[in-house]
Amino acid sequence: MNLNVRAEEEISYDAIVVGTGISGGWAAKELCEKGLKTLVLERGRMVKHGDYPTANLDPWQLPDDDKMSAEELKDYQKQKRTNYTMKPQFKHWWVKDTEHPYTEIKRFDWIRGYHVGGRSLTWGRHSYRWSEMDFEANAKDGIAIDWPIRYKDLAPWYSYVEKYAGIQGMKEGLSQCPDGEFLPNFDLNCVEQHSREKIKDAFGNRVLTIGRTAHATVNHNGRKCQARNLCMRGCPYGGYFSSNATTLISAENTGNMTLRPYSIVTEVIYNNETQKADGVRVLDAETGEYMEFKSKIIFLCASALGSTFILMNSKSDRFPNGLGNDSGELGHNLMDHHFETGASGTIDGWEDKYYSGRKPCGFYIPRFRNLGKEKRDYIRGYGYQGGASREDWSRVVSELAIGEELKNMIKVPGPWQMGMTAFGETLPYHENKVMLNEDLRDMHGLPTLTFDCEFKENEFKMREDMKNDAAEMLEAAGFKDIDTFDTIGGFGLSIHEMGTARMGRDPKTSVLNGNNQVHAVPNVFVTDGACMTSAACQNPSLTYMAITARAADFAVNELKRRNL
Amino acid sequence: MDIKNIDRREALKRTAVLLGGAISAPTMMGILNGCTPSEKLDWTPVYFSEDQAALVSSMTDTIIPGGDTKGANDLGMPQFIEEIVTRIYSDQQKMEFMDGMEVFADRCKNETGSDYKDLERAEREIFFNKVYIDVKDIEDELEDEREGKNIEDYQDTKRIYFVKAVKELTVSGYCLSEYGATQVLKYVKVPGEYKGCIPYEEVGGTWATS
Repeated sequence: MNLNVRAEEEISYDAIVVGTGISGGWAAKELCEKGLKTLVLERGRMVKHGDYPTANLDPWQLPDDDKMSAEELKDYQKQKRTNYTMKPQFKHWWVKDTEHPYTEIKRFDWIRGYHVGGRSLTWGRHSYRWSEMDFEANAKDGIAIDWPIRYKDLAPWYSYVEKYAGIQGMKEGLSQCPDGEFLPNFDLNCVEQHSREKIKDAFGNRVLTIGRTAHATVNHNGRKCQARNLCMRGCPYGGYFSSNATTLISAENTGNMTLRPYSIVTEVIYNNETQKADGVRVLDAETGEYMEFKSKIIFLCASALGSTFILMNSKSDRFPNGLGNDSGELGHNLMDHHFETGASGTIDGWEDKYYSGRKPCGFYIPRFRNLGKEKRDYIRGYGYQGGASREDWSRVVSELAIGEELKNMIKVPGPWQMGMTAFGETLPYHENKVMLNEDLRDMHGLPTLTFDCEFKENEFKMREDMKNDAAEMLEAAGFKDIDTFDTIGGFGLSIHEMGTARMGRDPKTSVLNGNNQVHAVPNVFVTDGACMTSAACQNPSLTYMAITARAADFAVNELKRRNL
Repeated sequence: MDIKNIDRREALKRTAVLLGGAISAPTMMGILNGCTPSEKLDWTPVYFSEDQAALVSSMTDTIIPGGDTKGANDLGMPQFIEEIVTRIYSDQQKMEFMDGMEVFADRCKNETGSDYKDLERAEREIFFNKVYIDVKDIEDELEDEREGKNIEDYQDTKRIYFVKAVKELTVSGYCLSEYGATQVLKYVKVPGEYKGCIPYEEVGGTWATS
């Protein structure tokens, strides 16, 4: 950037939004649409909707069987732990661990990318509402602290964000996984439909429904899913919700947004006299220059650990342990979903049936454990994601088929199979934490994070049921050769990391209040995963959207009332 | 793509039929159609020696022969395998692959008296599967050991088994090639919509991708 541009650059805004992922995109859209001149700061590179380099590649255009070389993978030793992120078709969406290191006291899989859109480009798109039970859980169990909000506070906002984002699903009337504002649902295939019926017959309260995902199954504001199932590459059709395809475009259309990539927010600047934040300090990732921007309100939406990092790095006389950290809870109560346990099996029949198009989601079985009076030997619960399909050409590899026999075999699909993996709630434990590490620096010379988290007894007890219930349901549906699996992986592997700047009623035990304001610094809002007080078992992104839209509405009203 | 669920008794039964001298009908078809591996190597290896390239070529041709549809060697599968071994594999994986190749070649010489590439097609199929069954036994053992372990650890310690790697790469490279995906299998680039339960006849083949 040359001096002319810097001198012309506006420094003062009504609002600053940090991050452009699921939450940041929504904050940008809401604040801009409500008339605020908003500076949106993204630490990574620009990605305009459509800038998806691998989106239209046919399978034969992917180099090397879509494998990265062992040499190249040396830069991605943590990112590759998922087993699916580090492939040529996706690799540009993930950070190099060598450039952005972190320290693990116990194994932690911190999977992320730094670019406009963040993980809203690469997310799994599953979008479930939390229920009253989820918000009440801590209070009822005497665990951690109570949420300062309830389902009824969020319900209208779930509707609001669902209508914009476009969520396809089937209404089931389940209180533990409330119905949303749904677009027409993707089909369950023949075997999934059969299993739904059989599971309902065998277990009245277990419902196999379509995965509720942010796909436009019909034309939705000019976007429509084409059933290619290549979502993680980025979708030129806008088939699923990403900031790039939706919220950032809406924000831009207002004329109120200034989007600045390569802008790493290193700290929030606190003003001791006004007892509010003045703005943010930014490190330009391209030039190495530091600069400051001012605003009336700040929305930290840099992802759970990104936002907490900023708060921890914002030290002052008033806040020696990080901005807003009067409680000492900043960095603590880190949660994730534990998963990778369940079952699979094969089933005879339906040889005369198949499917066409590539469904970009599977089915979902909402939580059915510890509802009502049931008390297992653990608290909370889990839901399943899964899918049925016909074995394809790859089955010949595990058979002795060879030569002409193999050639004939690949031309015909194999038997139907089905599998499911449970995602389990992880409790908030104070000792599961992340800390600022000034000794290890990243490629920009910034401090890094040190993780100290582990799954504990409640999680491991839950996994027995997660595994066995899956096998039980497959058996009830008539599957055979049922295999169970249980490979827990690292904390963070489900990429649903949340907590570390939790919401609560009491400033002594929480960082944020019921409106996502930092208790002691009311013009700073945190609405991404950092704010979560418990983890539930439902995928969290839809909840981040609703929380962000609600907080933005509150913030703008506070500005109008001159409270901020 | 781990080997699993092969009924071992069934597998042995099939192999016994072949070993007993009766050649399976599909294999006979291949022989009658004149699908023998080329005597001369029709590509220039960079990493493999001529002998190694010839061995791999005869294996890929055995796995997916030519005929009324193109075979693995028509689509450059041996070269593809050499690329993967050379540029993608770690040093450890490369070593395991090359060691496995040597073991395979030696075992063939000892048990049949010939180099693999000089065997008749039917004999090549039989010998390949003999070795394949043994790999399956090893993988079954590892599968049990794997239970409860982290996926990441398993991936890092996963060994390259030469025959498995060759078969996997041949099949995958073939099925995801333009010819394989569009002429042998079924592929629609932009389906437009998803239909969950339709008669198989409307597709009439296996989808190349999901």
